[in-house]
Amino acid sequence: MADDTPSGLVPVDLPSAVFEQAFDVCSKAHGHSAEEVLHRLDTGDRELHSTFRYGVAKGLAEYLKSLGSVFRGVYVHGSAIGQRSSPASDIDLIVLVGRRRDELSRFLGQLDLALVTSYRRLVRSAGGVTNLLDIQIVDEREQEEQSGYGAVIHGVHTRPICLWRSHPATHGGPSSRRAPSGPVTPATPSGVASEAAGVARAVPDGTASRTARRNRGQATFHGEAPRVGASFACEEK
Amino acid sequence: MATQNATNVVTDRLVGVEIDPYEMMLHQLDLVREYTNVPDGVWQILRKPERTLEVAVPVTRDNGDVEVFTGYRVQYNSARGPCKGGIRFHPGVTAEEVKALAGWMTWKCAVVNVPYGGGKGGISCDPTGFSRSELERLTRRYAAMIYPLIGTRRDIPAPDVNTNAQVMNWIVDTTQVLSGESNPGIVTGKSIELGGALGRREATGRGVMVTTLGVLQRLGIDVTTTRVAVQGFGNVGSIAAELLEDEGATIVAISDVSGAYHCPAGFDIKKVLEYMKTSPGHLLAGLDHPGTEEITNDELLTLDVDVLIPAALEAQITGRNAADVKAKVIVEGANGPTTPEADLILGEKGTVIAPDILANAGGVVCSYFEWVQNIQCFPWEEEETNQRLSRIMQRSLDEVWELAEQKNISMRTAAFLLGVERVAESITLRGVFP
Repeated sequence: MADDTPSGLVPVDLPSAVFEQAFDVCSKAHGHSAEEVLHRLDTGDRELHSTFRYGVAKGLAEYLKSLGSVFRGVYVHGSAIGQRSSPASDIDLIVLVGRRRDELSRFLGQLDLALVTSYRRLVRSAGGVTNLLDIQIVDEREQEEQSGYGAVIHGVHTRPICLWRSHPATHGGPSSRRAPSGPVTPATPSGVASEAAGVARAVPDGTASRTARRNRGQATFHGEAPRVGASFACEEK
Repeated sequence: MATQNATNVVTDRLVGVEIDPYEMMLHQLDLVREYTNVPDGVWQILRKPERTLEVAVPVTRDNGDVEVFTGYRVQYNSARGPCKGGIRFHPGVTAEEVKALAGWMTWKCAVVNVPYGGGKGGISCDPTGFSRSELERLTRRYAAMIYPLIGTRRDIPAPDVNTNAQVMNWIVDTTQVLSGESNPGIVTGKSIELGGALGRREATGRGVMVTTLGVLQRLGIDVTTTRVAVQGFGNVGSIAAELLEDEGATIVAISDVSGAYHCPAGFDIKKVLEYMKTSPGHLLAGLDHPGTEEITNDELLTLDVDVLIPAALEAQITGRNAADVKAKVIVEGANGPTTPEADLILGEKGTVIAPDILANAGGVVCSYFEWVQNIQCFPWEEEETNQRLSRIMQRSLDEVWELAEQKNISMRTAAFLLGVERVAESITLRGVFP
């Protein structure tokens, strides 16, 4: 046996699954073919880059949801919910967890590395990008106390969009004693609102079941997609 | 499911895309920075390999044609001692991969506190298409090309993917011809007759056993009440199983490429090993052991056991099956058997994971012993190797465990952190030349 080989692997086909889903979001929101979406991403179309990032965030939310009780919710904020993303923009996410653990940083870091590696290849105008995700972890205490980014999810002026949030009763803990306080009706910047309307039209019941395939059975995430629509209601399951 | 159109467009662009392993290693390195106060300058040194050598390796094939291959040797960091790391012959070898592996070797040697830095080498080639004499010519030319870098006090190669004791023997001979001096300590993993260490074959499995016992002791679990499943019954898994059985554990499941077997009452491992001496391909297939049923590999991983030892391939415990894993303790005999998403899920459940960088370091510790014996020109008895190996593995586990408790981090992060901090400390103490 070899003395020395690295530990640590990322789900190799996850980026493809997430990007494919983001392409579909773009197609539905803007009425473009997949080829046209790719062309517009290559040429740096800011509106499309924003929608694409929103689609990536949705795909990631679905994937994180599939990992059992580790993650409790996902919010997106920043340029992904406006019309101002450039090919170099990162995707600002707030991820809710029960408690902070070092494995979280390792996992999310490798996830980012996997995504940005594929993104650099996928989008020709993205050559020098070193990070695609900017993830803030918010634990149960910060949610309770609305401290740090726990306060941001309750923000008034730049309220993030809730892509998915688990029902507190499903994981216990202090927050299970009260109703979820996360926003269910976010601000609706024009780019996202139009995308949302597009998706709502294309997927009338808003609960299309999606499964993204991944190699070796690792990268398959099951379950319903976050409900999308004009209200962006958080999924409560 | 994404539309076919989107799938086609994305797939076309992403065909062949791979994560740069060196970038991944740097990423892992940077992740532990928040737990240390290593100065910026030292951190910059940690992020760069000291030396990278690329060599052309021409080989005359048996039909008279000459083919030129590309080889590498990277010395990542030598602050703690001469660089140590294997040589691999594989079509996927790249400069970036070798740099990353040399870095990982640096942290691994430091975790078990052997006085080595980290190195790595390889040739981008498919050795399965080589005759023995072609392989010998390839090895000897490569050895000659990297000879300016390697040496008992500089950089000590060892076997790795598709290389073995014979390849090391050729390197010893080539370098002796070039230097005119006998110098067996220039590589480890040689044949015993040329200065290899007794106990080397069993060393990684023995280290896994010692690590398992140490974790059980820390958790207050009596080994004689412990039920163990071992995935992978090769050099590492079979030795670990045999030694754990000797300690009183009950081995209830074993597997290899030919299948997985479950014996709730416990296997007689010595009988299983006896069977494998003459079985086709030395595999478990056809094993006739009382009270045994055949199960799937996935079933083995999710059996209701106390200890699970994945000692086969990487990426066996994944996001798909981690929630079903019932073992309280996982000891990683293989490299990278637990994916990061599985790590998360298992951590949430409170599963204790002894990480590969620690648990399977018995091999490199024994390499160190081989080197020491070569330098002293004084071969040890196997018993001495085993005793010293046990002490080093036990001490390393204790140090990683205590750091994990002190910083409230996982053993995986603690092991990486311990290694990195030791290298950083050595760099700091030496200062920067000139």
